[in-house]
Amino acid sequence: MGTLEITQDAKTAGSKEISIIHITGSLDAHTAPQLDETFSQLVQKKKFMLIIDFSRLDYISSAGMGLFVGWIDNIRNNGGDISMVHLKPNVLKVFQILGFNRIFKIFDSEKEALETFS
Amino acid sequence: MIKNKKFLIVLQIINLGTGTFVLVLAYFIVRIVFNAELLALFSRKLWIFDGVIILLFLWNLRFLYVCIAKPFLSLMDYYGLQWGDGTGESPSVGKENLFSTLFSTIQKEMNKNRSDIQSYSQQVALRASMIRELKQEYEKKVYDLFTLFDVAKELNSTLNERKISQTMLLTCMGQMGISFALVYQLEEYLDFQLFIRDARGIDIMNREQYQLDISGSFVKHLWSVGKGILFQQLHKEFENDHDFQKLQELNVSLLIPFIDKKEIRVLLAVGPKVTGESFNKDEIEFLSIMTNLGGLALENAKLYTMAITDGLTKLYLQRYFILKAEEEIKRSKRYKQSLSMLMIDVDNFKKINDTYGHLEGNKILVGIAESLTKGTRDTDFPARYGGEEFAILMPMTEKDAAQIVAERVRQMIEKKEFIIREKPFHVTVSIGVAAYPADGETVNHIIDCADSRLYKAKSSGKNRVKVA
Repeated sequence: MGTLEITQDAKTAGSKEISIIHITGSLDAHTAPQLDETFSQLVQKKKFMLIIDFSRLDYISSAGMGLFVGWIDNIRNNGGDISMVHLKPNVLKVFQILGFNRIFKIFDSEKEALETFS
Repeated sequence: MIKNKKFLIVLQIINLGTGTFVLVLAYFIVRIVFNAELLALFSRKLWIFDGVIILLFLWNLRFLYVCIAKPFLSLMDYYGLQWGDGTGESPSVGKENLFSTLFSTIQKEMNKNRSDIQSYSQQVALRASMIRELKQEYEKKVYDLFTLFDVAKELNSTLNERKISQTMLLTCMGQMGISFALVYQLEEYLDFQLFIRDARGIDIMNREQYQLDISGSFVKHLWSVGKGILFQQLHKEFENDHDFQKLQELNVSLLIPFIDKKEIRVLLAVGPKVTGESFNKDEIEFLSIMTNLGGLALENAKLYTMAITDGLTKLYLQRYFILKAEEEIKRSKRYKQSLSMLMIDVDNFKKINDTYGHLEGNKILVGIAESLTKGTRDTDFPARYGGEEFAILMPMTEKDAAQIVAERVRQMIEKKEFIIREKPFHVTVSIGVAAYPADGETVNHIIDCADSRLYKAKSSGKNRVKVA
């Protein structure tokens, strides 16, 4: 059973504040509620522009993917978006198999992701 | 076309070989006879003879052409090509159109090859794309199986209904890219209605509004179909059905029932895909397996919950409360933490029961249970200890903090308005507080201590909290 650690910071793209969420470990049905809580807090604070840093995420299950799909409509309807950066090959493979690369914007670097928000 | 090709070729080779051999032999014999140098061509004596030999040799060479052309013609014949005007006549040496015919034939052959190559490359590209699609399809199928295995493991690792429903919903949303999903479960207490157990990706303010009637024609139809069904397929038949309209309002795309004991026990309702694509047969099959796994786990969890909770108040039963208290005291000992316990008794409850009857008394017990749940943290364990007596276990809580919670709960209940025989009614409670390790080191000691303080609160005027 994996664990998940979540840290946050913020950067600016033009005049907009972008929240960066760094996730470490494993995102599955067990750990998804932690990230769910983070999304919930950000949405309550009206922070809808999010970049998820996957560089330290080793594993993602379908339940973990489901968490992003569950939030995407809410976030996009409020004029925001979720971008994913630094996906490890095994994680990227899951995104590709499930066709999530057509739903979310995936970038190699945080800089590229920030540019799309500006 | 050319007849006896092989025979002609062999004949010409023999002709060329023997002719050359005879000429060379004649050349050397004449030189030996005339005693001339063997390799001195065009020597004075024999220049006429040598000239004749060379002319004959050149004449003989015409067969070389035949030796080259014949196999070539044979090859053309083999590939179904035509020579020149298509009569298949062997070209003769010196024929004017020989090389142009040869060239055009080669060109035709090259063009044909080019178009063949194009056609082959198109076929190869098509096959490659089919293989790629198949590879993706199989990768998805392998991942589907892996996910089902993972989900089965996950669902069997817990008896927590919320965890089970969340695993079901998140997994199907993630696996299919579904925008929202909700899970209905049959509730016998709610007059056999399918109520919304849990939902993801959709905010439903009033879940009761979307309950489905198990005996209604819509749910009966889902039961008779017994498998996943696309919502749009139900439109014609149930357009005016109340339950159909509820789901239509939620924008449901697909319904998958889990049937057990000849009833729909669980119903998975999913919204459209984020990409807008429709569901295929494999995806419906996957969701059906998921619903069966999740439905079974939810039903087992429900049975477990029924076994450890009180049917009336939905609070934990005394037996489970004591087990939990023992476990928490061990944990507190290990981590050197405090733990508190509240014992709560409804004041004058016997009088309420005697005056208004047990049914009204039950309403008060349910209302008090609600206040206890609302007034405590998720990590606390409120229980119905017996009759009108309740208990709350508060891990990692000092006695001072427990006293604050006890006072808050007491006030909440005091202010709560019950309606008994259509008239407002108020009740009060007395509470005794005890803590580990301050008041005892075992569950029995702490329960006894909290209980004796509860009776102190009762004997000193009721509606109060006692901590010493």
